[in-house]
Amino acid sequence: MDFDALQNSSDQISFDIDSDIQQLIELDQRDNLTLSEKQDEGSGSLVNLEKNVVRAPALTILKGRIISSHQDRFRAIRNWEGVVTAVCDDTFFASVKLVNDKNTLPKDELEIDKDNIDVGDRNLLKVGSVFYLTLGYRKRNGSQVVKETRLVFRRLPQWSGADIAQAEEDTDKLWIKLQSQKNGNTAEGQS
Amino acid sequence: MEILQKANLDQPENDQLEISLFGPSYGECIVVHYGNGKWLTIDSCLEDDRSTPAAISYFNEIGVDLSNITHVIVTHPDGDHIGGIGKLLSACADSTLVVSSVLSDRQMVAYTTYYAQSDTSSLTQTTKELYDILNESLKRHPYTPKYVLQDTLIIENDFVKITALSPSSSKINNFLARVSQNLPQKNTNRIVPASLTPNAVSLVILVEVDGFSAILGADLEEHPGRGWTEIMNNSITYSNAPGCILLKIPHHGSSNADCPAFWNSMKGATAILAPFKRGNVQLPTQLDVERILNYTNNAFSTTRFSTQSKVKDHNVDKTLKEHGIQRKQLFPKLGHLRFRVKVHNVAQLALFKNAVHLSMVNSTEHVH
Repeated sequence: MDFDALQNSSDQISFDIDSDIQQLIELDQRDNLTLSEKQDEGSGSLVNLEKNVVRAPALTILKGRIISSHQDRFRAIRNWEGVVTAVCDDTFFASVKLVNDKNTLPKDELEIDKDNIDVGDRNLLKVGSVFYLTLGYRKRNGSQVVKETRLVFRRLPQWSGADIAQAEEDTDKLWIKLQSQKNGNTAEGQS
Repeated sequence: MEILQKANLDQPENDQLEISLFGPSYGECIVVHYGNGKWLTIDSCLEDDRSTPAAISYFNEIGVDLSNITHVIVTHPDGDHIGGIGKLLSACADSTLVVSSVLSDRQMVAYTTYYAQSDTSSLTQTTKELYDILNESLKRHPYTPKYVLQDTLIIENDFVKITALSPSSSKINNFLARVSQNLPQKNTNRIVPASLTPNAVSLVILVEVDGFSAILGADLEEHPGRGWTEIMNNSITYSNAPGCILLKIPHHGSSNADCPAFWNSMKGATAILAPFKRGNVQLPTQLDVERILNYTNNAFSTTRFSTQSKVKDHNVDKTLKEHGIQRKQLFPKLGHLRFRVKVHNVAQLALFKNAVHLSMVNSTEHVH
């Protein structure tokens, strides 16, 4: 199975929490195999499990290998990208879409307790901030499975001098064409 | 006026004015049949599939060839008014793009270019949509964009006259000053585009037919001496217009768009709106509803807030709830209000899909 293709799939994933937890436990009871090695075993249940694996913003999975420790593993089952639309006293609102949804526009609205934000990220919470929210399971100490959410705000790079110069050049190109068109329009006397 | 709870979706007669309003509580779109099979659109919103512009769905449904769409009007550059506008403009290949004069200013072109090209999230579509329609407009010779401000004539023929009642030049200058302040600077952090609060530069459209008129209020707000008062005091077209029989209520019925003097000037008119819901903002509020119904009982909404569904995937939502996260469908379902009138005939308002009387906009009751 092409893992990248799997990651990019827009298929909606339905899941059963108890079944997923059982699969996670079974997976953990095996040695630290890479995903591809596990795929080679041809287990139907593993394939089903892999369908529920979504690349988390914190890169839970890198190049097909589970990089978290055997004792403390996080597995994402839903991964949303969101933009903050309103900030209230204890909660904030956001428009979100599944990261792997090919439709570019958000479909859901979340109201999220601010407790979900790391203290160090609180200053990033403002209208227009972009974040990723991941829902998944963490397996701790080889046996305990807990449901967990991760909320990570996206930190955007600075505008460089080159970025500004490029944007100005592109603006001029578009602006000149629009002005030329506008003047032509006026000259032709269109109503 | 005759209210139709059930009506056929069909094309209007050649001498019939139609004004249809679509709205899913985030976004609105108006289509106008202005005689002899010719149409224009005002703003754009998306169908419940979050992909297809509502105007295109409607034209397809009633069998209107898109070559009959002569004008695509964008009232102001705000996210809830331009959903899918790029798709709509591309599909209506023989149409003229009509926009506010603000879009002919280099600062505004720069703003859209900066943010459209550096837009880091698919969730912030507004500037990308603007950038796309500016570029699309370059391919449309001879249908080049028309930049309008107060009292600019858009269409005039034997049947109808369509004019912009706003924005005023002073509003445009104020808006462009805000645009300049929000242009990115070197070595500053990138942010998603700030809201430029463009309601003040909304295009309000006046549709005049023999003996009556309709006013389509976009999101124009009212502040002392500005907004609607500016139209009443300064617009020559408005002062000469025949009596208004239909108002698309501005800014989703909000109190900051309310102008009692304006309402008093159009007693007896039918009022329609598309509600707005995003984050913790919901318009109209119950107080807004009561205020509007005091002006006219003939007031209608394209949809109800309660059509916004809560749970879609029980297991996921149960787990989210355990972590203090509530999920809802982002948009209530779309509805459609269709106003039709012929000269010297009784007007009809037909309600489709989730459209209701305004008194029901906050209702959770099932509506048949």
